[in-house]
Amino acid sequence: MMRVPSVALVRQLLEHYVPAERTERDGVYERSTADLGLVGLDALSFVNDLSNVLQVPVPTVAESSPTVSELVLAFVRQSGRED
Amino acid sequence: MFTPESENAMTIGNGSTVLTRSTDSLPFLSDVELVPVRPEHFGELYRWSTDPASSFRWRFSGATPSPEQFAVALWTDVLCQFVAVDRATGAPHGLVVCYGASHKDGYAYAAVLGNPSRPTGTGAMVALLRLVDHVFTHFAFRKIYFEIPEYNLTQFGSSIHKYLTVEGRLKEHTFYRGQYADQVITRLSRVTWDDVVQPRFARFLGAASDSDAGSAIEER
Repeated sequence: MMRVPSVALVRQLLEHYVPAERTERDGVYERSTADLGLVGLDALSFVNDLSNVLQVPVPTVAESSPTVSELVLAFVRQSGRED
Repeated sequence: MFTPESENAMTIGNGSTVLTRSTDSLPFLSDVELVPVRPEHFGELYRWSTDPASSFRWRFSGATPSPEQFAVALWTDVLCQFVAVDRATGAPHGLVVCYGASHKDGYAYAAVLGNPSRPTGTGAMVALLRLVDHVFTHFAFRKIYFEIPEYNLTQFGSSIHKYLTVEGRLKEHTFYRGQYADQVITRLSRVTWDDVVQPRFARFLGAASDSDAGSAIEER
């Protein structure tokens, strides 16, 4: 079963794409990726990192403007489908 | 609300804690397919190209050509172009275009027009990657240029600096909202594509492998 990544780990991943001051605030999990400025290839690259770290394929579900927690949750669900 | 219990990793057993959240609108990324532009796409493409909220980002820049002019302009100077659609639903994500090709000198231009009703644009970005992959696979170009008005740069995030090289800047080139904006000409070389971009985004190109793709960080 997949391990849900810690907030610290997600922050660390995000900081490759988003200035640290944006991710250091509380509630980073509840902010949308668009709100964090995670757009374009950076958004894809972040998902790529999550996929590699969690060792779960990228979920392919309806496009929306997800929060960080929704993104992680999509990986959890994807992992569940594979078990 | 999704709240990890601690800063440490948390194992989900049956998933009950995390999955209590509504998942009706769950994210994130559709499986994108490129299909050649056909006459039945004209209406949607015309709407995107002339939508007052977004047309300033695209070639007509606020103008509304006649449908007949639009159909001709759609293929003018174009080498190849595709509509990006959701593989499951057929819903369109955007249009990707390769144009201005010089086979003699080994370059071409590429552009992407996202469906204005899709806020994140990730599907259109996947489509752009697939267009580049298609172009470098089928044509012997050394580089692909992207002409980007300065006010569009934020849509590309930090990738402008990571993967593209600025080759030129046309000062105060294009008019919008009472002022002139620079037109930035960026380049993606075949070498950068082969060595950096293609491996990193391989899983979005249909060539994914579980072992690939250079994560920026390893789990601790």
